[in-house]
Amino acid sequence: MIHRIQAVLAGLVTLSLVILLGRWWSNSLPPLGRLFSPQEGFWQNADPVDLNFSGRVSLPGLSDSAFVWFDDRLVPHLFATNEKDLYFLEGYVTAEFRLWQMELQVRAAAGRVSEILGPAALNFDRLQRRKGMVTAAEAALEELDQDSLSKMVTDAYTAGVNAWIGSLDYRKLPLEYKLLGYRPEPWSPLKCALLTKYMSDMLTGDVNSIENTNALRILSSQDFWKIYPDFPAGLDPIVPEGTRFDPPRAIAKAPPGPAPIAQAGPAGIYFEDRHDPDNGSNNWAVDGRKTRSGAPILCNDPHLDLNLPSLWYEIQLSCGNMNVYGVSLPGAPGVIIGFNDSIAFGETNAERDVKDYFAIRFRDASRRQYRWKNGWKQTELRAEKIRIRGQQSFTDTVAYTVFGPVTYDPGFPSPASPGQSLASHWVGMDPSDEGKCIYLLDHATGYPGFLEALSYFQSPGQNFAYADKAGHIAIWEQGKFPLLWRGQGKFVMPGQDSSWDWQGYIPYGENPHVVNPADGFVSSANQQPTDSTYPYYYSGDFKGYRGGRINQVLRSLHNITIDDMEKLQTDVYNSFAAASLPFLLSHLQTGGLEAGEKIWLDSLRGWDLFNEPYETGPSLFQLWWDSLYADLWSGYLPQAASRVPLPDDRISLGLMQADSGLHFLSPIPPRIRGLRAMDQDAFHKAMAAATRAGDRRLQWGIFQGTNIMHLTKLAAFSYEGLYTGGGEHIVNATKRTHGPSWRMIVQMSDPVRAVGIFPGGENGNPGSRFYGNMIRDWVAGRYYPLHFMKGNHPDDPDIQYRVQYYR
Amino acid sequence: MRSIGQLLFIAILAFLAGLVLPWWSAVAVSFLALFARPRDPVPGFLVAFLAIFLLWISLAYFRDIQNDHILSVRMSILIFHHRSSLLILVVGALTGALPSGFAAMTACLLRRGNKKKLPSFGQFYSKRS
Repeated sequence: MIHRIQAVLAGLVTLSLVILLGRWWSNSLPPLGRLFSPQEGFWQNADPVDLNFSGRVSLPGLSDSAFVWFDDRLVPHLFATNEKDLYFLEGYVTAEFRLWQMELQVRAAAGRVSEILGPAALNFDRLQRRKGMVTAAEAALEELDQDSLSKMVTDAYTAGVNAWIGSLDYRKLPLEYKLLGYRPEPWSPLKCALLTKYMSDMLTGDVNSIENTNALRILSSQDFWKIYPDFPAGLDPIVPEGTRFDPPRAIAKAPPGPAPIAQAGPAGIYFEDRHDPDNGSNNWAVDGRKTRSGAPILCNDPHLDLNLPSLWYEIQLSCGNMNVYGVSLPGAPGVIIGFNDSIAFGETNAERDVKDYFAIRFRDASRRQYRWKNGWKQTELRAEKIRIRGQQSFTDTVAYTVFGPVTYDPGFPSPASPGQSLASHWVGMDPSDEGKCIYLLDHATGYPGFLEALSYFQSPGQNFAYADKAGHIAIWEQGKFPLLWRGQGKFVMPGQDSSWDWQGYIPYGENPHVVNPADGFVSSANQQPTDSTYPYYYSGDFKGYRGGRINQVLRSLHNITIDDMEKLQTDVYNSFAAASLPFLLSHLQTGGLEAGEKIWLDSLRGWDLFNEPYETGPSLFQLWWDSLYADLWSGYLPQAASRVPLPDDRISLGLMQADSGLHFLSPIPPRIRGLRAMDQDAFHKAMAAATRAGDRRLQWGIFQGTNIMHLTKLAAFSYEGLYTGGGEHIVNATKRTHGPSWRMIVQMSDPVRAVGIFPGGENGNPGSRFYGNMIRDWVAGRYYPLHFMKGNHPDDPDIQYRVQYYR
Repeated sequence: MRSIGQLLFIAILAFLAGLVLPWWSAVAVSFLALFARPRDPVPGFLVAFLAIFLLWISLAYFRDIQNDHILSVRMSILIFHHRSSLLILVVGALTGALPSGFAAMTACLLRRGNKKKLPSFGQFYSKRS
């Protein structure tokens, strides 16, 4: 009997252990038995560091044999005999190294993160659905399906991704699936479209209309334009100042009647998940007259959130009629920034406002009808079912109006806006086929091909820099931009009829562009594309200092080499400090300073204005400026500070320089006491903070530094505390979690010479040595030669691994 | 000798089962092995525990060396907030070994409950030698 009891007890212990080790403890603690099993779990993702990727693989989806050569950084060079096979293979290889990330990004686009992460992501998902992301992707897919070429490319890529997914069993699943406990779904063309919309939303989805409306409520119109001007002084636009423009071919007419603000009704604080305000980039091209080789050089570095796995996947695609190298977005076919045998191309964000909010009045809580031209109009209701891990699904119903989806309404209340319903009208919702643009860019053999490619590009509006072997350079701000009257869309617009809506679009040929300029270079860095004489109104979130510095350096350079361009891309000269520090110093009374403060003052005076990681000057300057800026604007915009746009640094400085009494807005609050007193105060506060931080932590590379986080934010898979230079307003725009996500320099000589680097690695697997292998060199500002391989050179010494694919 | 034989038997069978079956196949193999060839509960526990512990830790260690500890370090930080490949190796092997040991013990106890005249560990050993 006693044995029986013992047996039952031991059996219970065994069973409990198996059950305990087999169950979920939380969303982040998966079943441990399976995770730790060396034959199934995470150890299966521990790639041997000397793993040989070479081999022969049977892929029934191919129509002919094809091969991939990998170089020493695991960059794949794909060679196929036809395009269909090439895009199939691109999908296959990209999924092999980036599947989890590809899926997560399209889940995020479609508002399906709660399925994995549970209720914490519900608000994010609802916002995505309410932005109309899925509707937009569906419209894009419909457009794409009408073009046989785009359809072929997308279908082949999709089939390739699915061929990889089909080859997976649990053991081979990317680690993140094992940790989060789900499996990949089949890929689809809709997911390719969703990815494009994801980028579109990242780069054009956030606008200041609501904040501007709030600002206009507390400021006079004159004061508003004073602190938020569309064309501030000291502009160095993409199209050089003084360029003559033709008269406009189309004009938007402002409706008569009171200013929009009066009709928009009370706004409030709206909660929005906003993208980094510094999403932006640099690109430029110099022509052969300015280079040592006589061939044009094109440079591009897009500044985006720095994450792992990296946003970009470097790749070479080669078949009979195309041979292109550069970076792709995992999930979208083709090379987006790169070069082929004839041309080089790169993009920066246009920063133009292409999304407006319209105030909607629903008839009742059902939201079936809204006020329209003295009557009522039916909405289209779209039920959005959001599955939530560990909970019942949530269904959100989104109302669609003539403008677009109603993003905010009482059913999606934000903390401080219980009332208003706002529909968004976003260019990203219009049907478009950006994939066709990428396809044509990758194939283009010259400027006409480049222009044809751009004609398909609508959103997100970009500045496309161009250089070719024939010696031409150009830049085009391309995208679908609404035709606006002055101030239109800067604020929440009345939505009771169409009179405040867009009246058309700027004709493509009228978009700002520069071709073969006399100066010998073109450039963009998210500044205004033109001066105020451009015949079409636009507004946006522009930045000035980086572009100014780039143009200044490019004007001064001759006999340019790739090395010079590396120096410029990694240049850490702080143009904003150069403009403001001498001014701040000149108003400081040094008489009454304490001994400690005098030491800081000396280091500030001795600083050469370069944001090197080992300098303390950048940190001291930043503390001082931030302190003055905060005192100034919290003085003028007291309770409003969180709900109005923060005035730009350049504009704040300009206002201070123009009036040392600091009397810019009326009325003048008592906290505004003139520059001398406020500068002094800010200095004391900043230096107290500096003393608390201490010498070591004031080193810029520690004070700011950079963290490149895994997409799950798990520190174990991230690289934190990177000792970087650069910063805001600086050509090397590296910040704490944001910065140059790909640096590329291409010399269009014969053969093409190119260098590049991105802060991550080709393999998305945290267990691979190719996961973050480029980060150290990226921090140090180094570059790698890009191996533009030729399929008939199998002896190329840069080939590390060879994979042969056959049917 | 018999213990070592049984240990190897369990380890090899668990390895083969693990090629196609989920992780708990190690537990099942331990149970079945001791059910077929029972012994006293404590030695039964030990032999299966050791077999699976050694199997899992050596398989993992082999991968860890080849991987230059990249992933084991990341996983140890993730789970234990502590940078130690050894810790993750040992804890990982324990997750397989503990239930396997108890499964084996259950098997021995069941057999002892059914067959009253099972020889003790010492008796069995001396008879064979």
